[in-house]
Amino acid sequence: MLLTIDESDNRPLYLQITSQIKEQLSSGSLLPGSELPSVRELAESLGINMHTVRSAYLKLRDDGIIRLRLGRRAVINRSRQHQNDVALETGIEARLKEVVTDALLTGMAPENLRRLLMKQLDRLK
Amino acid sequence: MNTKLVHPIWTHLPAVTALVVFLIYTFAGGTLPAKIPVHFNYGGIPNRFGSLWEVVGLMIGLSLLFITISFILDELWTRQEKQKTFNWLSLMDDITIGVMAGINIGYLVYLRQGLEVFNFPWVSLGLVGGGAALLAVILELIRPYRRFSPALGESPALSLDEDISRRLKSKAPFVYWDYQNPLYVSLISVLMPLLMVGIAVWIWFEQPWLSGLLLVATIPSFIMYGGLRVIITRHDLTIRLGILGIKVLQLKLVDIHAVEKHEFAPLRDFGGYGIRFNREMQAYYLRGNRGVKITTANGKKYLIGSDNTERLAAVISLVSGRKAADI
Repeated sequence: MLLTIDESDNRPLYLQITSQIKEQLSSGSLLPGSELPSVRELAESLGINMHTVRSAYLKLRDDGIIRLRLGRRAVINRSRQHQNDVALETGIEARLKEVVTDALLTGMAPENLRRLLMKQLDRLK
Repeated sequence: MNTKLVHPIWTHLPAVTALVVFLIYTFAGGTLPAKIPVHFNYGGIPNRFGSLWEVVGLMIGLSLLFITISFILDELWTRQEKQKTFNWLSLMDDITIGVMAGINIGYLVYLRQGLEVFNFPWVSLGLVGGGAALLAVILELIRPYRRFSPALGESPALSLDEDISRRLKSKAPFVYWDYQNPLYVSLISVLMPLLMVGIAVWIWFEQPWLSGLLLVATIPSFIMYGGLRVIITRHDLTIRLGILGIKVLQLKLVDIHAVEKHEFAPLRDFGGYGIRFNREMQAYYLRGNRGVKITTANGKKYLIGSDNTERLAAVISLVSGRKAADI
């Protein structure tokens, strides 16, 4: 598992961690059943606060991505507990709407936005 | 994981035969006293009495244990063979059970003859133990060689190369984390200490010193829990062990001179799994037969086992600035 901290990224650190873990899970670099580093080890290696890593892990747990067990390392869930389809679609649509709005507000052409979206889909295929 | 057995199970026949011979001689060889001596002093005089089932139970239990261990080791050995080699480990269960059966048969003879002193039964030991060993050597020699082809293949880590290169340019802090934590390590690190604590409590009043030693010996077994982790940051490569994360190796990336993917045979090259040494290098692995061999500027060599060899080699070579050589 590879994690980086991008100081030019405006998102909070814990969201950078969660999105990278999700990305590696989507691309197959991380497999269901894989163990994640302990909070202490990861915080020490990245030079960040343990609470930041803990927040990332709690977010991943709440999203049903990982399983946290007392005294043991976090593990990627073997069977994802899917939310119901309608709620999932509504949530993703809301996030996409936000991204599209931000892009259009910065003056990005819709063709460019479409190209970026397709690029991401191709990358994670 | 490929679960098809590669090693023929009939090589364990001498061990099974020795056990069967012992059982037949125990139950069909004549009557035995209800209470039998089960422990002797150096002079062969009995100093503890017990039940026949104590002896039979111990013999069956130990035999099953040795056959199971030998079964696992033989299978591992065969899967790592590139050509037919003589596997000395395959004789372990046959010789051990043959020797135990030989001694126990001599012991049964002593019981049936009602002698006062137990003389060591060299004859039955030679016949049964030697016979089992000889048969085991013959079976190992005629054992066919079967090539094991692992089902898993790893894909090249090209996208990872690009990804790491990009991140290195940005000077961002990063961590690459790889681990090996097989089930057997969890079992050993939990069951072994439990068993040892149980025995220590059992013998506490009879042999407190041995009991104390056993309790101390549980600590190294327990700290293995959690397996091995390889952690690579911008500056160094660290291997940590077990639940406490004990640092067993730390290399500065600037000291790395060469990186290459390496295939090895854990039993033949290092005699097992864990933290191992041979004349050429130090090795750190808990499963598999592939890893990354690192040579440092001062000529020391280290082997790091990994389930993702290509990925680990790509990361180390990119981060250290050394090109990884192929297997």
